[in-house]
Amino acid sequence: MAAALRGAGGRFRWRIRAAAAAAAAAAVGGVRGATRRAAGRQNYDLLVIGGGSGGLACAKEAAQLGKKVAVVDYVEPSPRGTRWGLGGTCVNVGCIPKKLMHQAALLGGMVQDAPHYGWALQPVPHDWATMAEAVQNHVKSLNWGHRVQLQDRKVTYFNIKASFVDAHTVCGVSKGGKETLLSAEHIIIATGGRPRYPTHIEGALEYGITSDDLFWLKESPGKTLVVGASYVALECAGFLTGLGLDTTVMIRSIPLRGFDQQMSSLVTEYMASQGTRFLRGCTPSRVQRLPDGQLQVTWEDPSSGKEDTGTFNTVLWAIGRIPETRSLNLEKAGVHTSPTSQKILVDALETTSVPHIYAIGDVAEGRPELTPTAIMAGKLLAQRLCGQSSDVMDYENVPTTVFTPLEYGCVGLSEEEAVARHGEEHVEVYHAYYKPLEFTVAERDASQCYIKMVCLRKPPQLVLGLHFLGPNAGEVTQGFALGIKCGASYAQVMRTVGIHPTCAEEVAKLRISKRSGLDPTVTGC
Amino acid sequence: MMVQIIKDMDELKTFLKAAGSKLVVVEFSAKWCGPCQKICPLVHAMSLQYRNVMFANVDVDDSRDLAQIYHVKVIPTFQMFKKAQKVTLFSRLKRAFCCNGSGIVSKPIFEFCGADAQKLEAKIRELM
Repeated sequence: MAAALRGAGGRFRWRIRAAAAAAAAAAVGGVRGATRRAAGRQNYDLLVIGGGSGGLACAKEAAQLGKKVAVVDYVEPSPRGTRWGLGGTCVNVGCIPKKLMHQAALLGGMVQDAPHYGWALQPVPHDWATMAEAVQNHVKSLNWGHRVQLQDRKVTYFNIKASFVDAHTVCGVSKGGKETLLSAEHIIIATGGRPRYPTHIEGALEYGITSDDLFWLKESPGKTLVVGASYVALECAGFLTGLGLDTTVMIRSIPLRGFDQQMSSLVTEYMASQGTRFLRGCTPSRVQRLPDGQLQVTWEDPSSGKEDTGTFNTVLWAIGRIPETRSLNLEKAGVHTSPTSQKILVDALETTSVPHIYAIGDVAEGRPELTPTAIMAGKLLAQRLCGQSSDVMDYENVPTTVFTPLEYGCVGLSEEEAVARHGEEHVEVYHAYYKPLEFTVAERDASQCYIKMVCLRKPPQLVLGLHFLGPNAGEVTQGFALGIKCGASYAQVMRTVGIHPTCAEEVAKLRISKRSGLDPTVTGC
Repeated sequence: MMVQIIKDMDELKTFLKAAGSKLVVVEFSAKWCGPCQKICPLVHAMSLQYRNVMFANVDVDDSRDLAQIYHVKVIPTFQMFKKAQKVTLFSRLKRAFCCNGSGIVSKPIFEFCGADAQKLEAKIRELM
């Protein structure tokens, strides 16, 4: 109880009230609970609902620290019928297959570059089925690996769909309908999210697919319309274009909401230069199937007030994700969700409105929807629950990368956020347009290869954010994230020697500020 | 079928019993495993060549329980079984207590992981 109250701030008054109520209920439930526990249900120290990045990390850590742990994981098939194994979104329908298909697309680009470097390669066609099988096989090997790991760590795994019966009890239903009752001292909800369908659009559910399905398609999606402006939309559209497919992205307002907008424009500019079509400011109104099997999409262009149509083989909805909270029966446990996002409300210790129930990963309100943060939060939570640590997850300066054809890596604040927080006069932005050496011989357009570092103006000029657009952005950004975590200043960056010849060295060589108005294009060595 | 597909513990016990004193080679494989696909024709060839060795295959996704019982972690894993030749009072007692009196030796005498066909064949020839 004390631990639960410690983390509560002014914003979480509801939790103090709820905790008091829960304590009173627990006093009563404790006696009843003991009786129920004796009645043949399985009891654990920790029950983790959701076998994804956060859930598995938490479960394995707690088991390693000696707790009796169970994980329940269940994948509700997508409306298309797609299903997958243990590991969660990242492993099955997210990061992993995405990065592999992104790599497949990049290789296509390298094949095009190759003749410049002396390789006698002709343009080669891409076979989706071959790529898909290889990607899907790798994902399945990861499903297997996770199962083995759980066994090794003596974590009990159930492939059942869980929902709360009361605050300490969960009922799980298997695919065949068999019910299992599980109770635990602590329960962690890590059920993640699923792609949102625009159910108000006629034909959206029947004829469209989402990222849940894209990575499991056995046949090429063909000419595709991607609806959305999220990183999911742009990453998918990016690799589809790279694989040689006719791809259109329909964006209602701005690309990559929440990310630095100057960088986001450069990302879409590059994609457009590579052949991805963009329909800006448009919203779809209906999807119909034509007699030949193709899909006809009708959309509105508010600026012209006109309606337009297009024909596609596939329509991919990438308009956001919704948390998997609807079928959990959270009310039975007293766990509160945000009325707007439906995500589970948590405090800094990942505790929900119920003191012994926690939520981590995508399902929790206000958290980044990223695998590494879910994993770290899960591990720290397990350590705290086992009394091994009092460390709290730090969600500041989390680095991330958008794996669009030209990759965008960032850590820290966007320029807009920095200006909003500190005021324009107190912020200095150093920037540079550079050309990767590899692009020169290959005669590639590097117009969007750009870096900017957002700093405080006051010496030593603390680095607030770093934004890198270019090849291998993820690899480049990771190292600088450590620098930012350690409170690097622009003064220190200036004294860091670059590795030559790389793109990353351009970060250490940033000298031109936006304020100076000078040309930020890097020339020569 | 020169390589018997085995789905569960009962089928494995039956297979081991039928093997008598012959060497039994059980491959734990998966459809998603590239090296398994590569070594598959080589195992089939061996099953035809070594007639006094019994070959079986367990798909770890279809037969999860079996994979768990035999602590299979890496794919492919080859486990080899052979019934003890010598029967002593000790071995009779041991069998009675350890194997629920089934009289079947269901612990592997050798295991190796990975799709090294040469290593597999060498071991088969050594143990058969």
